[in-house]
Formats: sequence, C-alpha cells, structure tokens
Amino acid sequence: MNLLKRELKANAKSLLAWCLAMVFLIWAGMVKYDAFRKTGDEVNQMLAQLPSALVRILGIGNGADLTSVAVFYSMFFLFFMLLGAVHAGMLGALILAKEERDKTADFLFSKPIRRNRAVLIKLLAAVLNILVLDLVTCLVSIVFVERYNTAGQSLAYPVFLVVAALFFLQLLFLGAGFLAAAAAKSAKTASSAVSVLILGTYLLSVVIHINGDLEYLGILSPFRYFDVNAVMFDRYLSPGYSALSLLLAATCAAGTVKLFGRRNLRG
Amino acid sequence: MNIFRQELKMHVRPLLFYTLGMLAAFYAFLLLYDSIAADAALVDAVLANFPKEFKAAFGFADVSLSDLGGYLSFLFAYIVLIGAVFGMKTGISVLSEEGRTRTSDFLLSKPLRRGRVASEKLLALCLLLAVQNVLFFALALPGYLSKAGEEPNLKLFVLMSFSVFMVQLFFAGIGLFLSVLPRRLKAVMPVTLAVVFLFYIVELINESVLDKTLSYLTPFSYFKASELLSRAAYDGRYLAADLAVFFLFTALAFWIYEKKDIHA
Amino acid sequence: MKNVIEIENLTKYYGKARGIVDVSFSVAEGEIFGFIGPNGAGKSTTIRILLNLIYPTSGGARVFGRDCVKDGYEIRRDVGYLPSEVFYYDDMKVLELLKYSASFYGRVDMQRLRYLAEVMELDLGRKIDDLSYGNKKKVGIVQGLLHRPSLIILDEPTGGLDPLMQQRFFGLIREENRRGATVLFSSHILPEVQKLCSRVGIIREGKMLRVEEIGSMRDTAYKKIRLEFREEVPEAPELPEGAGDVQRSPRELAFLFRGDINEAFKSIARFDLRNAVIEEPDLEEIFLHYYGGEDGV
Repeated sequence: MNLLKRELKANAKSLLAWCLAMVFLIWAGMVKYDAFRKTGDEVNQMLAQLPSALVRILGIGNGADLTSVAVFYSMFFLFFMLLGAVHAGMLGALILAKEERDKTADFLFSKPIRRNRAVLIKLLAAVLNILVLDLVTCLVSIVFVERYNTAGQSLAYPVFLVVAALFFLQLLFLGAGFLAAAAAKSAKTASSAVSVLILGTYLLSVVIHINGDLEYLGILSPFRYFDVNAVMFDRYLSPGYSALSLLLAATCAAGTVKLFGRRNLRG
Repeated sequence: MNIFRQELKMHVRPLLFYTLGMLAAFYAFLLLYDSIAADAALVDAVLANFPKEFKAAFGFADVSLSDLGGYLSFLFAYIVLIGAVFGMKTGISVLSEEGRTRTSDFLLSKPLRRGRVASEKLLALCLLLAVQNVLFFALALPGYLSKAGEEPNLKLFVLMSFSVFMVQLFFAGIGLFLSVLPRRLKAVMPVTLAVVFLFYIVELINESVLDKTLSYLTPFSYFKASELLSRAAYDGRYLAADLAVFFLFTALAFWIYEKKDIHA
Repeated sequence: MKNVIEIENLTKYYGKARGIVDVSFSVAEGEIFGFIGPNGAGKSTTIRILLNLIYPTSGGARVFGRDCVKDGYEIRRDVGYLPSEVFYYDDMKVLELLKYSASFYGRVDMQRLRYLAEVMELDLGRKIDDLSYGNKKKVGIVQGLLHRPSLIILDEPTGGLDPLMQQRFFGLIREENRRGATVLFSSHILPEVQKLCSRVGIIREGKMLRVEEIGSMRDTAYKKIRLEFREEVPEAPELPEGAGDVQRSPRELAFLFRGDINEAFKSIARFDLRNAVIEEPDLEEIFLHYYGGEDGV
C-alpha cells in the first residue's frame, strides 16, 4: 500500500493537469457549440448535401445535423481518444521506467518487494489515474451536454458509453506503455515507442477513413475500434472490441510482468 | 560552436526518423489518391453547385478534388502534425537536456555565458527544422511530380511543404518556453504530445464551428493547405502571428534560462 | 560458523562487457568483510546480484542460505543496503523518504529514526533535491540501518562524508556489528577497510585475487623502511635481499622489505644516516604491491 500511495501522490499533479485540460476542452468546445448552434442552421443544410467522399476527407459532421448537441458531442470522441491515448500511454511507460531514469530503482527494488507485485501496484495506480480522468470527463460532459440538450431524452447514458469506450482504449494504451517500459532500455526509448504507436495508429485510422477498402486493417488501429455514432445514437458499445481492448491490455500486462521480472535493473 | 555541434549530433537520428514518418504519410496519401480519384469527379460536380461564401468558410473555395494539389491540401494537415511533434519535441529537448541528464554542472561550469549556450542550442534547433523541411521537400517532390499530371502546381507544393517549418517554429518557441519553466523537466514526450494534440484539437473544433477568431489560437489554422491553394501565398496576418509567438516565447525562454537556478 | 553470504563461480556479462568472472567467496555471520578493488573491478555488480537487482550470467549466490535469484524477496527483508551513488525521489522530504523506506519493512521506529538522524546530524525537514551529496549519503545510511537488518551491505559508503561523519558512521556500523549484524563493506579506500574489517576480499578486473585476514595480511607481508641520509644517497646502494618497490630521492631512500629483519639491519648499518623509520605498510601499499606485482612479473 505504501507504493500505491506513493505512486498516486507522485502522479497527482499531472493528473490534475490532465483533468483541467479535459474540462477546459469540453467547456471551450461546448461554448463554441452554443455560438455555432445559433448561426449554424444554414451551414447545416449545406453540409447535409456534401458528398460522402468529401465528408470523409474533411472529417466533419459525418453528414449529420451538427447543430444537435449529440452530433456535436460525438465529435469529441476523437479528441478524447487522442488525449486519452497520450495520457494512458505515457503514464504506463513512465510509471514503470521512471525508477531507472531517476536512479531510484536501486532504492525501491532493494527493499523487500517482489518485482511482479511492484508492477501490479503501479498498474493499479495507473488504472486509478485513468478512472479519475474518465470520471471527470464523464461528469463534465454530462453537465454540459444536458445543458444544451433540447431533445426530451436525457443523453447521460450515451455520454457514459462514449467515456466507457474511452476507458477501454486507455487501458489498451496503458498496457502498451507498460510493455514498452519493460522491453525498452530506457524511459526515453519507451516513451518514444509509445509516441510512435499513438501517431502511427492515428494516421492509420485516417488512411482507413479515406479508403474504405482498407477497413480490414481497422483491427490494427484502436482509433477505429469504436464507432462513435453507434455508441451515441444506437447506444451500442461493441462488445467484441471492448473485449479485444481488455484482452490486449491484459496480454500486455502479463508480458510486462514476465519481461520486467527478468530485467537487469540499471543502477 | 561545440554545443551547436553536440546538439546537432544528438538530434540527427530523431530528425531522420520523423522525416521518414512524414514521407511515409505523404506517400501513403499519394497511393490512396488513385482510389479516391474515381469519386473526385463526382465531388467536384457537386461542389460546383455550392455558393462561394460557403466554400470559402470551409476553406475550399477553389478546391478541385480531382486535382492532386486539391486532394493533398486536405491531407497535408497530418504531415504538419508529425512535423509539429518533432518541432515541439526538439524545442523542449534542447534547453532541458542538461537538467534531465544531470549534466548542468558540467556544461555551465565551463567558461560560457548562458546566453551563448542558449543561442547555440537555438541555432541548432532552427537548423534541424530547416534541414528536415528541405529533406522532406526534396524526397517528396518526385512523388508529387509523378502524380501531378501535365502542369504540376509547384508553387503550391513549395508553400505546403514549408508550411511545416512555419508551424514548427510556433511549437519550437512554445517548447523552449515550457522546458525552462519547471525546475527540472523530467520527460519530454508527454508534454510534447499533450500540447501538440491540444492545439490540434482546437483546430478540429475550429473546422467544425467555422470561427475566424478562434483560428488565431492554433498554428494548425495558420497555413492551411486549402487556403494556400486559393491564395498562393502565406497569409500575412497569420505569418505575423506565427513569428510573433516564436520570437516572444523564445525570448522569454532565454530570459528565464539566463536567470534560472541550476540544480545539480 | 554459519556463512551469511556464499558466492560460487559467479559470472556476469553485460552483453559482451565483462562484469565479474568466476567470483567465489563467503562472508561468515557476524563479521565485517571488506570488499576492495579499484573502480570498475566488479564490486557493485557482485552486490547488485546479491540483491537480485541484476541476474547472474552463470554461477550463483546464497544469502542467509537462500538462493538470491529465487528468494530475493525473503533475502531483502533482512538486508540494509547503501548504494554507491545515492539517488532518491527528489520531490520528497528527508523524513518522508525515511518513512517511505521504513514502510517496506513494517512499522516505522520513530525513536530509532530520530536517533540515527541525530547521530548523523541529518536535517529531517529538508527536501531531497536540495541536499548536498554528503547529506544524501547520510540519508542513505539512515535508511539502510533503520530497520536493524542482520546483513548490511555498503557500497563505497564514505564518499562525500567528512572525517567526523565517517567516524560516527563507523561507530554505527560497529554498534550494529556488536549487535550481531554481518557487514559487507565495499570500498577502494584501504585505510577505512583496515580500520573496520576483519577480512578482506580483493577483486580486480572482475576476478577475485584473494581473500585474507586483515591481520595475516599485515604480519606475513612487508615492512616499510624509510632512510634519511646525511649525504646524498649513493648511486647504487646495497640493499638487503627481499627489498622491493624502491623509491629514491637525493637524500632519502624508501623500500618495502620482506625477509629476515637482521639482514636488513646489517645492510642498513653500512650507511651514514640521519634518521630511519620502519613502519607497518598500510593496506594501500600492499594493495598496490598486489596489483603492481601482477603487472610487473
């Protein structure tokens, strides 16, 4: 428990910064939405006529009614994914690799603590961090979305599902970060590897988006796992991809325990 | 000039790596061009019916998708994004290098003025970014020419390619500034990606809500390829904003670096 | 007597780089064992294997009779370790760090913490990041001794400590030793090993040269003879058999001697001297002799 407390405390400031960034993003986005909604009807009509090829390339609106808060909010899912991937991936890579980077590995691991236990506690601390960020994201989203919601039906549940999808993806990137830290020589290499993973899979998702024929590659890009329209409007969170995300995260965690257990710590 | 040389040496590999990434994205988009070309004529036909103001608002007033330049103008943002990450990362790295590797005492106990140290690092940073842009331009040009048809729009391609550099300057300045704020910056990549993505997201929101004033907030709006297409030049106001941010934050970074306590 | 540490044919390579090769020795319960060798000889490598921080390439080591690869956790419960380079969490205060360290062993004994901090004159309220190198060492010492471990492993512990603090620190080590703790003391500074240890193991370029009792090392070996001449030292003074490591300046002659002391006096008697000093050489000189000896032959 001492390690858990230590990790939570060590990450508290950065978690706060992430939460604030998230709140700011949602707030700013929704304020812009409010202004846009009042003038947007005309634009909206135009957008409805846009050919789908152009819509795909522009990545706007998906041909739906942008003045509806649900449609507008569904745009946020991409933002959440981008920030969430960075948060989780980097957190995972650094929470494990920082001991060697800061040369505190000798201190920590000469204490009576099993390596796999230390890894699991750090994993738990990271998951708690993600949970807090996602909880904040969820609550703030619901508050703002409901404020602008003109439809009779509450949007709290679909918003919750969107954030749940975000949570699964974050677990996946967290696992990747851990694995990178266990496999890489240094914290620097680990965080670079995670950066490549995030940028690479994001660009892959863009490429797939442009060329629908490449849809089968979607399994390689977590950014393609969840269709936000299905989540938002059909309240359908793909159980297959949810399971896949969790499975990949668990596999990464198992790999980390194995690799890190055999690691020669740098003094 | 030994610090300058040392900085160049340290960043050569990331430079090549990121340039490769930009080129990979570029050529991937080129390959996809064929698959989209079939739709393009249709899209152009529909677009022809849209009112000019509307198209201007969305930033594709003179865009023809069946034209390679028009097609790329939509996708160049992603290449700029990769470049921006490199610019920010390098900007954050140079001045924080000694703090992160605990070599501050080593370097700053040498007979050197801090201003000199910072200047050489800045120079290296600018050269790295310039080299990356030239490399990208030189290696992407053959691809562009091979698909651009009879009359390639070279000017557009030059403007687009070097818009990466302009956006990088913005992030380099912010990076330099952010890197000297904390006592000892520990990790480069989390800050880099978080900041670049935040600006990128502002741009994405911006594209949806069509707000001109918001566009000054993010460098991704400054040199949009679709604008370059109709204007055939960089917009002076955005150029000024871009350089102002770069110079202001670089100057602030220098000032703080000069006064900062160095912790062993 | 029971052995607390048993190392057998321990070998560690870092890729192709040599760490240690075929190192074997043991440390008995209750002794203070010196582990000496120059920089890069493999002292830290050996120690870090004992703590299961790194894995051996081949061979093995047992601590408290347990395998240090398999039972690292059980072993570390009763070990206090002071690394050669002390790095701690910069954002913590000294007290926080010590409490954190103690929390891995169960309850924090605040009384003992304050006692140790007082002996080492350590300010508990300061931030780790603001501490000098010597003060960080003190933090290391306190966190290593706080939980009363029965094996204390010290890796070049005195660097950065002033002479007074070294004395206090040695006092603490002796106190723990009297209480029954075994100590593995690694160093490249011989006088301090001489002061504290009962046996020494000498390691060089990754290989153990030998393990010796401190006492026997001094007896069997050498005398150091220093002669001051009234006139200039003759070009080729006739020295007794068994003299080595001769150092000559215009009016002074110094050499190490091993052999019949009477023979030495006979040859010295021929010189016209102003002064003569015969001393026990310190370990440093013997140590150099071991090293020099191997290179020289």
